[in-house]
Formats: sequence, C-alpha cells, structure tokens
Amino acid sequence: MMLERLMTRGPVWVSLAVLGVACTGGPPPKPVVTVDGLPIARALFAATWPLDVVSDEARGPFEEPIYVELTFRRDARSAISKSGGESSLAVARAHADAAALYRQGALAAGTAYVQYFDAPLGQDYDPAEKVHLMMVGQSLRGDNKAAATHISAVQALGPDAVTAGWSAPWLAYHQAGSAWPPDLTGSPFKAPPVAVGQWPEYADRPSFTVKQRDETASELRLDDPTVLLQLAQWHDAAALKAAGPDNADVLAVYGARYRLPAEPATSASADLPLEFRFGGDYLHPADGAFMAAVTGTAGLGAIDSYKDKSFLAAVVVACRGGDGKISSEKVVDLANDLRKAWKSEQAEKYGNEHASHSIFADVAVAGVYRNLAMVAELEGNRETSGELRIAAKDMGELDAAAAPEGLVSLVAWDAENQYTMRGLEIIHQQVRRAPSLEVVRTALDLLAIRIGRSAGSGGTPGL
Amino acid sequence: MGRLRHLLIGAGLVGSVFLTAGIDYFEEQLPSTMNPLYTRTMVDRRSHELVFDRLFYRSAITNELRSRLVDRFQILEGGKKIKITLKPGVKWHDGKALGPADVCFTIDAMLNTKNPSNESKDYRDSLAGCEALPKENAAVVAFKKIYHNPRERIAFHVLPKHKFDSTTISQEDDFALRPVGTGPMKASKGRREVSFTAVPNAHHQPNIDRAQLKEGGDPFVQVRTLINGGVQGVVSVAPPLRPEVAASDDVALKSYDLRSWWFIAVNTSNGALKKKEVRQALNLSLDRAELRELTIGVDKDDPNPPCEFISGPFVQSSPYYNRQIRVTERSDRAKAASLMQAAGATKAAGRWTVDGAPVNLRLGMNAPLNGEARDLLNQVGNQLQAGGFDRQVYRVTADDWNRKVVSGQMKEFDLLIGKWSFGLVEYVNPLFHSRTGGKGAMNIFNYSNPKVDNILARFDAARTDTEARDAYHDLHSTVADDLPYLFLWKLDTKSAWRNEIRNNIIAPYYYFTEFDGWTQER
Repeated sequence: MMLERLMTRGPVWVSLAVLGVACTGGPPPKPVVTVDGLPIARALFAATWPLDVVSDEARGPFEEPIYVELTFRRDARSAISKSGGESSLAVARAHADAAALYRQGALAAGTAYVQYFDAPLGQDYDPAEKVHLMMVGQSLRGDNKAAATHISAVQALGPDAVTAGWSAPWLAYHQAGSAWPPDLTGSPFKAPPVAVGQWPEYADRPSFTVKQRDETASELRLDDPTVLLQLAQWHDAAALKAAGPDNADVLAVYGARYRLPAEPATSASADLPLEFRFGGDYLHPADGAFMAAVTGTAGLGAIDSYKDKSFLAAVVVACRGGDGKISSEKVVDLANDLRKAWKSEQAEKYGNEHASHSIFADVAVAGVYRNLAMVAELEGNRETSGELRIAAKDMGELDAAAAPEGLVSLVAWDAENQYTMRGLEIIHQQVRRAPSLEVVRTALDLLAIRIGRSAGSGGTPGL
Repeated sequence: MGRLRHLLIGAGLVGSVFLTAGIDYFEEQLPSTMNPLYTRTMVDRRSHELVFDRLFYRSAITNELRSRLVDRFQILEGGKKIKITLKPGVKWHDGKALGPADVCFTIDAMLNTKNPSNESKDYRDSLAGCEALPKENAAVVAFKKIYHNPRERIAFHVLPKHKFDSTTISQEDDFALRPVGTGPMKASKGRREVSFTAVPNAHHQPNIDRAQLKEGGDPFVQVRTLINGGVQGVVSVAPPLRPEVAASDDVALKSYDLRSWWFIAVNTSNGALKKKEVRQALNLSLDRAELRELTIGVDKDDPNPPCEFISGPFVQSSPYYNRQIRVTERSDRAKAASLMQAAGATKAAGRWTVDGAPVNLRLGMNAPLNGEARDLLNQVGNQLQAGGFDRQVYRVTADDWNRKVVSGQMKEFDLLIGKWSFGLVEYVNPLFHSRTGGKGAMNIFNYSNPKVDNILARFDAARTDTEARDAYHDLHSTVADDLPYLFLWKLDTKSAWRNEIRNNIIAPYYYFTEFDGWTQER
C-alpha cells in the first residue's frame, strides 16, 4: 500500500522504446545495448535486479515497510525503526548503509578539517589544538605518515587539553603501528551496547571549545569526527548481528566500496543476494564482489577479470574511451540506453507498464553512475569521477535514486577539492535523518567561511 | 489560457523545424546588458560566460583554479603583485589579438569610479593597478595588500581596449548589445532574444555552432516546448514541473549550484512602515506555508521541499545562517493585531489606520519571478488585505528592477518582492548598509540602521572566521527583528536539457564556464 502510494506520486508514464530483445530458441542472443560496438551481454543484463522483481510475487517481499523506507525513501534510520528489533537481511542492510553513511561522514569532516587547518588555507591564529584534528583527519584519510607528523604536537598539548580524551585512542593507534582499527572504547563518546533495530546518537555533542591565537583569544567550538567512526563501527556490528555470521562475507563485500582509505581491503568475494541488491547500486549478484575487488587489493586488474561475470565490470569495459579509461560521455550515453532497456524489458516481462518500472530504471542508472565514478577515481581520472558523481546526484537527491552514503561521499570528495557549496546543502538535508552528521556541518561551515573570505571575487549578489 | 499555451507550444515546434544545428534555450529573462562591467542579474552573468573569458576561473568539477588566457604566472613581492603571461594566439571576436594592454585596460576601467559598476567594487578593494609588458605579452597586476592567493583576486572578465575610447565606459553603448569578447561565442542582443555564434579560437574550440537565448515566459510552455524538442534547454524549471521533466526519456534535470533566497523589501521610510511594530505585524500577517503551496506548488507534507523557509538573509545551509532565529511559517493574526495596537493603530471595518490614515501599501514584484512562483504578487497582496492592510499590486519590469529598484530609486513603493542569488561568497553588506561612502549599493529602500552598519563593519574588519561568522549571525538576528526585509524562502534552481546535448556540465554560479565541452548529437 505504501509502495503504491509512493509510486502514484512518481513520474508521468511515457511510451517505451522497443529494443531488440532476443528470444530463447531463436538466433544467438543479441547484446542488449552496445557502445561503439562493445556489447553488454544479455546474460549479465538479465540478471540485474530490476529484472528480478518484475512479477508481483517477486516484488512482494520488497513492498514491506522496511524495504520501502530503505530503498524508496532511502532512509536507513526509518527502515531500522521498522524492524522492531528483529533480525533480518533487510535490517542488516539498513545498518550496513548507516555504517557507510557515517564512514563517509567521518571522512568528510576529517577532510574538511585538514583542508581548513593545513596550508595554504591555515592561519597563524588557528588554535593549538588543530594538530589533534589534523591527526584524526589524516588518520581517517589513511595518510598515516602525515598523521604521524602531528603526534608530538598532540602529546605536547598535555593530558589536560580539552582534546586529550579524543586524542588518546588515536595516539595509541599510531604508537601501535597504525594497524586498523583503532580501539575507540576509550573515547569520550560511549556507544550503547550493540542492538539490532536501534539508531544511537550522541547525547552530548562531541565538542570542545578552544581558543584561537588572535589578540582576543576568541573561542572556537569544534566537533570531533571520531564519534562518526564509532557510530559506523556500531552499525557494522549491528549489521553482522542482524545478518548472522554466515553472511559476514556478504556484509564485507556490500560495504567494501565505502570503507575508509585507512581500512584494509576485504578478501571476501561473495555474490550478493537480492535482499542486498534490490533498489540499490549493486545490480548483478557479482557486482559487489567486483567493486570490492576493484577498490581493494586487486585494483583495476579486477575489471578484466570480472568483465564476463559482473554487469558493472562489463559496463566499465564498454565505457572505455580512447585512453583506455572510463569516458563520462560514454557512460551517460550507455546509461540512457540502459534506462530505456530496463523499462522496455520490465514492461515486456510484466505484460504491460507498471509504476515501478521507471523508478527502478532510474535507481539502477544512478547505481551505474556511482560505481563507475569510483572506478574512474581509481583510474586517476578525477574529472570523470566528479562528472559521474554529479550525474548520480542529478538522478535524485531525496528519493529512490538517491543514496545518502553516496551523497555524503560526494561531500568528502568536494571537501578534498575545497568546494563546500554542494556539501553544505547535502549535509543540511541529511542531518534531518542522521543528526550526528552535525559533526560534518561544523567542519564544513568553517571551511566554507574561510574559502569564501579568501575568494576575493564573485561576491556580488545577483538578481 | 489553455489555448494560448497550446498555440505557444505549437509555435515552438514549428520554429524547431527550421533550426540549423545549434541550441535554443529559455532563460528567466533577457540579459540587462552584455557588458560584464555592468553585470546585474544572474542572466547577465550566465550570458557573459559564453562571450568573455575570466582571467582565472575554477573548474566546475574539481574546483581547480585555471585560466584559458594565462600561459603562466609569477607571484611577486610575496603576493603584493602577480605577473601574468598571456597565451599566444588568443584573438578577440573581431580578429584583433588579445594583449596585456587589454588586461590593464579592464583593471583601469574597474578602478575608474566614474563607472557605476557594482561588479567592480570587490576588485576596487583589492587592486592597485596594472602595468602592461607588451614585449613579454605579460602584465604585472599590483594589489593594495599581500594576498596568498592573488589569482583569486583577478578572476574578472577581460574587456577589449580597442573597443572603447577611454576607461569611462557607457552602460548603454553598442557594446552592451553586440559585445566583443574572447569567449567561445560572440553575441548579439535583440529585443526578444540573444543570438550566439561560435568563434573558434586558440583557446576555445566550441562544439556547438550557435545558441539562442529566448526569454522564458509561461513555465508550462517552456517545459512542454523542451520535451517536444522545440528548445534544447530550460535554465530554471519551476518546481511543480520537475517530476514531468524527470519522467521524460529525452530530457534530464541538472543541478545548478546557486544560493537564492526570496524576500519582500520593506520601505522603512514610508508612513506606517517607519514603525517596527507595523513591520513585525506585516511579517506575522504572511502565511508562508500557504504562499509556498499556492505559488510554488510545494506539497505541504513534503519533508524535503525544494523551497525552504528562511528567517534571515542567508539560505539555511549557509554557515552564516543563525539557526537560533526561528522561521515564521504560519500567520498569527492575533499577535499581528497586538503589535499594530502597540504601534497606535486602530482597526475599523477590518482595515488598519495609523496616525489617522489607512495603511495602504504599494506592493511590487520583479515580474520574471512569476515564472518560478506563479501569482505570488497577488497571493501576498491577498494575505495582507486579509490582515487588514489595503494594498495595490504592481509588476515591476525586469528593466526597472535592474536599474531603479536596486539603485534605490523606487521609493514610491512600500514593499517589493525580489530574489537575490549568491555563489560561494555570501557578501550581503551591499544590501543592508546605509548608502554612504560607496556602501549599500544594493540597498533597495535605502534602509539605514547604525547598529546594522556597525555589524557590517565588524564583518569587514573580522580577522578570524569566527568573528566574521558571529558578525553575520548578529546581522541575521538584528534584521530578523528590525525587518528591512520580510524573509521568505530559499528556492533551489534546476535546469533541464535535452539528452542530445551531451557533456553539458553546469558550473556553479557562472553556468556556461565549461561550454567548450558541450556537444550536440545530430
């Protein structure tokens, strides 16, 4: 019922383009779509989730409130609340999404602080305690060498520093060789015991007030990103508890692409069941393993090794430009063709059009954009990565095609580029669902003010 | 109205049959000028980006600072000067070569205080002068103080020296209609459209041969014409029409990073509006939730509407927005009546009288805004009337708004509905500072409040970021109480382009910065 209501608010229907679709028993199957003659194999396309949930019976389990919240509304918090504390793959996935959201939030906040305090934006009046946030930020970014340069300055702040409680776990982490994960149990934020179906937030804001080194020693309140990592770890544990140890590899694969740069890659390579793909970015059962491999130790070599077994890997190959790297223009073209193909194929399988077809096609296209943006980044093509991240955002920011963890990942990416306008708007929207992301806003606010004040031009209001 | 709409749509389709390769797009209005020295509107800014090059600009994707004109640069005297060497072979649209004299001419024109250019104010604060070094194809730009990022301080559009007699530049000359730039397109402004034609250059290779900016009218007609292929783009799609655009297989919605907020400026020098209590009563007479629903079509149950109420002169996501100040979402007639009585007003036959005269408000609105918020002018008027305030409503033409309202010459109005847009930099001092000493250049009703001026001075003098933030938080709380503006909402901007326009990256604020990369599938 809820799903029906959501769909009736959806787009106006348009006539579907009919693509050449092969039938069994006839001539060899044609590729579904081609880019410069490179096909996407029908078998891979046919195994994508939009085509797994065409019938009413197949779609039925995903019309439960928890999936509606998780996929159509992209609200992990609400989905978790619908679980009633009962374990299931659905609530496990919701907890895993929350973990990814907080990981990217921690990365965004850490990156914003590093950009704010470090050269060239850093100012001589910045507080002495900046070294703590730079150490944390660099640690989250996996730059342990840079983080280590701040250790002695952090220690010099002394045990009475307002940051001391937050620094201690990170100092211990680096003194023990920076072997992930840091033990955060000693942090001032005490996470509650892990429980499926819960959504912890901090009761006391993870803030400390420091003095700036200007004439008036004006005060500056800062929030510590460590709390976001703690929340991510908490949701990791809740997801595992909900999914059960037999699904540990599934969870590892599912969350691999949003792990922090500091975290080790997973060696898991499980296929993702439909419960972990429906309404999401992983389209084919092997797409999770592909993304885990390509963002993990296998690196770009995973593209060729997965191109015949993962839909997304095949799309990457089909979208290679003349330089052998992903071409954003080809991705956009292919995505348009895929959108039509998904809608057409769903309608054909279902017998007529259904309100879900267009929504599912859009969600799947957004997934293509988000995943290929990550691969483009790995290829060293930051420009293409950015174009695809923005293309994914344009597919939807608050509806089924949006992925909060993807949006917050864009915030972190933008912070790295010292661009805050988009990030501030995204975080402003996301804090309504995950109030702890205020920690990110604190860091971005500072960075935005400093960038704006140093920009010098472009400040004339436009009519 | 329905028949007219269909006729207009039909006309758009017929027109499209005769199109050659190129793009047509709807803008909110025509640009007020094609001379970037006198940029006033966001349409101006977007249009100028096609015709001129800024000396430095930021990548729309990675935010990297780049230049299409500068081959190399050298920071001198620790940031007090910068030497820029121009790329060879760059030509103006009329074939003449770009040289360092053009850069210095542009700086001299911006520093020339006889030119009434708001756009130049930021640069006047930082630039000291410029020396051309023709033999090196270079220029040395001097600043008033040391900057760690001097390239940011010279991100202006470069003007052709040879097109002007002196650095005192008219706002109304032929250049404002048929500019000569070094950008990817040359332009000619007509009465109903602006025509752009590609000009390949050493530093520009546009893939689209021609473009035509059309003045947007009925937003429904704009969207239908777009979906039917009569135009290729719409710069600003009205929120109620976005689902229809999103559902189309042929058209895509595109984000446009812009911070826009809407307001009703209050003439604090006129009659009853001199009294703060009356302004506060007006504020409480507005039911913003109803206005938003009726004019923008926002579903009142939408938890994340594209239109978000504001209580001060910043969007809610801004670091300068003071979250302690609550928005006034619903009207409160009882409280408004109490405030009016405190101001000495009496009510008879449902109408307020102050100092023996009925409160009769002349309410105006910048006419193009009706495309985004249909009938807002009348709806505001209706709410004020329901609150006991007589009113007369007027649409203010874009030209009058751009030239008279912003320069403080529309004092005959009591209330004016408008919109301001900002990019990364949110500098609101020109809106609220008293019009003295070159300050307050965009102060619509010449509002003057020493307390506000003092806060704005604090912002300008702030050394630390927190001082700057605190100053603007104080500004927010002060103007939310004193009400030189009744603050309405932030409304995001979404564009829509047909899918045959590819690689159409939209730059924050400036829009067409990456136009060279746009392609058209034929």
